[in-house]
Amino acid sequence: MLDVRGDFLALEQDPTLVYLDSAATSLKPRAVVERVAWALGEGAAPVYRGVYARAAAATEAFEAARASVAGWFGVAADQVVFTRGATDGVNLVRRGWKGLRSVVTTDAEHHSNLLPWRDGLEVRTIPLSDDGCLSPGALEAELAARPADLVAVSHVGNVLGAINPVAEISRVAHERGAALLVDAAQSASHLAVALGSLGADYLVCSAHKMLGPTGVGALVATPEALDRLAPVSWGGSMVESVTADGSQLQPAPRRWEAGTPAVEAALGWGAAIEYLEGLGASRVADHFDQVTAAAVERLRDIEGVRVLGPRDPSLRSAIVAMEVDGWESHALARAIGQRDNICIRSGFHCAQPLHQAMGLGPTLRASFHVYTSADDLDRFADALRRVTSVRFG
Amino acid sequence: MRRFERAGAAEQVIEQRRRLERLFRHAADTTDFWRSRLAAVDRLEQLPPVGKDELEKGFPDRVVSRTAHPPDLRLAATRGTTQRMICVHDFAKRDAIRAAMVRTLEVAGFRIGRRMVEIPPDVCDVVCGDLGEKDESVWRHLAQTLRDRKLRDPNSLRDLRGLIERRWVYNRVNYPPFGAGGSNPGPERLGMYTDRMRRDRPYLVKGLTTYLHQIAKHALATGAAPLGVAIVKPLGSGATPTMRRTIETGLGGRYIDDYGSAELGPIAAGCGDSVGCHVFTDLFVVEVLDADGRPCAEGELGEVVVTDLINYAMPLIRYRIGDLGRLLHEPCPCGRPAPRLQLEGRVHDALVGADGTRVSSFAIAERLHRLPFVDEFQIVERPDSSLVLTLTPTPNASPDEAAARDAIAEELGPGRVVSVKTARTLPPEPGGKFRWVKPTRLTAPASLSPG
Repeated sequence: MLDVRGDFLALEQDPTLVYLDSAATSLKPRAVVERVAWALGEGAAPVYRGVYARAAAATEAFEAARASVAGWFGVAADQVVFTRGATDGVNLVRRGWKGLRSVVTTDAEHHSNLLPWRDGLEVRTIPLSDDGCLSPGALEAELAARPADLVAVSHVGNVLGAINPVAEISRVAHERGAALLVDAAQSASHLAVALGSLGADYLVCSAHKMLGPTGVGALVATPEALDRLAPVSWGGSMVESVTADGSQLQPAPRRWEAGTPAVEAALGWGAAIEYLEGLGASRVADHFDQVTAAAVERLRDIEGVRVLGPRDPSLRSAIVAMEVDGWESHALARAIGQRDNICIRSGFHCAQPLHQAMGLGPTLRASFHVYTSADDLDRFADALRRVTSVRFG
Repeated sequence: MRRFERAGAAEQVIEQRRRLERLFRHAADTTDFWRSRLAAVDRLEQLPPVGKDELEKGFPDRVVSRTAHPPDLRLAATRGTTQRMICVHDFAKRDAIRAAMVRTLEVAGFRIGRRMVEIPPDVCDVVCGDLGEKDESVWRHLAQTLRDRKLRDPNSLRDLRGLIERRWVYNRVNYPPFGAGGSNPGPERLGMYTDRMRRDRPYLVKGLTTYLHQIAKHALATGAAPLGVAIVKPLGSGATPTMRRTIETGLGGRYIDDYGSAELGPIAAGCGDSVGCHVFTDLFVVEVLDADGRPCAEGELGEVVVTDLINYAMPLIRYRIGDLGRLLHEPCPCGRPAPRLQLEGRVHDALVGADGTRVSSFAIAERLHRLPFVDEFQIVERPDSSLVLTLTPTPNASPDEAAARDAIAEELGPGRVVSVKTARTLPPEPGGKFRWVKPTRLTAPASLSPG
């Protein structure tokens, strides 16, 4: 496993902290904090506007951040539209694609990959396997019975951590004439996410789940997929010229970026990607495999704990959801948070339909990142064992 | 309980002491948490009060009694502004809570079986999954349980039992909370409550006092008042004297206070004959302490500390519940010998006046509620000790900022900078309640040193 705890200010300043809520938001490495501080201090200036040196430097830094994001997803810089996050990216596709009529999605989606489609479109959901994965066969059958304009699925489910076979889903969707949107919020820093390899037309993600700041994310798309989208927000920066009776839009991606962007957040995201690249993709991938497998192993040993999601560890990424006999999830999360300084999520995790489909009440979820250590998992398992030693009727 | 109530004051003191001694022995013998704390203690007053933080650090294995019977245990968690404290109750404690609930209602002149309406605070039911109580009929719930083949499922049975108790024994109906509409949800929403009350004709209404205050004002403004309610009681909050008058006029009933919490159950009940609530001294020892931990003088404002004489599953001794109050011992016209507790809001909602004394949120609220243009309000203290007063103005009234500043200065003394803003509504806290005063708790972050 990686040993990078010292790179994270939150862990340095709170040495006993065990942070297992990375699927909600990740901690930030020092490099990100410093880059954001630079953008707010030494580098503070507008982008795309001034002709003076500071403004030019800010614009250059901003475009460098976009280039870093583009490189991470294996696309050109003009295929990266900065948004406020993954949710904003989904909504941009929903609003920008004027001819969009029908969407196929799954029971396991985060509300942000469900509710935007429900707003005025025909939405069909495909039931999942027992492990919480989407079967390409089930998608094939659904699209054969009734075509759809778009298939929208998560790369990794935010509750069960199930990895969907996105490349295979892409093949099925495209053969049936549907475009594919991949919600990569939970996979962008964990798995290989090159747009071409995934076969996605659209991909959305949030910086804050991949070690970056909140307030920025991206819609990454093929040029053809972007061509389908009209601007959904109007204002400065997204036009080349405005006359008394018309305007000339900027080329991609700026035509979808009206107003002043979240400059410091974007720069921080660029630093996060540089940090991840510095760790090395294969080391990061190995770390997540080891942490996830170790967590499942420890939790399965605890009496009364039922681990949810894929039994095959290769189908799971850095998220372990569970139920605990005799304990209501909020009470348990609160108890170990208060006594052991362990942060773990409880509830429906913004995926209520999944819980309903599986007949579950609120669940517990532990989620990991590069800073998660074997010691963190031991402490979590010990705490869970001690707390659940007291049972309730 | 009734036997204890009928006993004389001297007998009650002896019985309370006996219960306390037994609790001490049990706590010391069966929990790691209390063993060391009680080792050198003979009297209650020698034990330092215990805060939530300390109890939470040991929850559950160090604070739950080793002799507790697991199938008999249930979790109880606070839903207040802190949403933190988790407690464990066994059957005897739950039974005592039920009995105390009945006694609370009876002290107020309510007979079980009469129609009761509750309007509890809002709970988050989407993201966090805290579903609260569903207001459904017993038959519908039973039918659904049978359809789901869950008649033998312990959780389904527990839900069914709770529903029967609520609907058939207590004859209680829950109305939905204000929800996203905040403190002032608008006339359409408020009209729904007055319409339902007129239809259901409850004898007793129990609710978050901000809700009751707004419903009463709406009833008065629309000519619907009084609604014919006989008794009004608070739920998880308190009311200032001015609020009480408005609630009584608008809803038509007597406002009778009570006091309790999720972790302790009903602690004290108002009789309506005097201020404050009679402490259930057979169930609790209630103290009010000053800033140095010494007992406050008669009627002096201090921190409420409670010892639960009934909870043997998770003993709570000198527990700092987080409220401010005054203990009153002067005789009550009702004849009950138990001392009365007058609550004045949360400890962490109090501000410090210019003379260094603690000023409760209730005292400030009463001043502001007397102003005719103030409907609801919230004060936020900023790190520089200035105050931001946000108020929802009374319809058709113009806010008088100078009068609002003067009212605050009368309570806090001179020297505070107060800015005044208006809003259409005020948001609730995550637990669904509203806070009148939010003192600053933030400390400036340490400077980040790179490298």
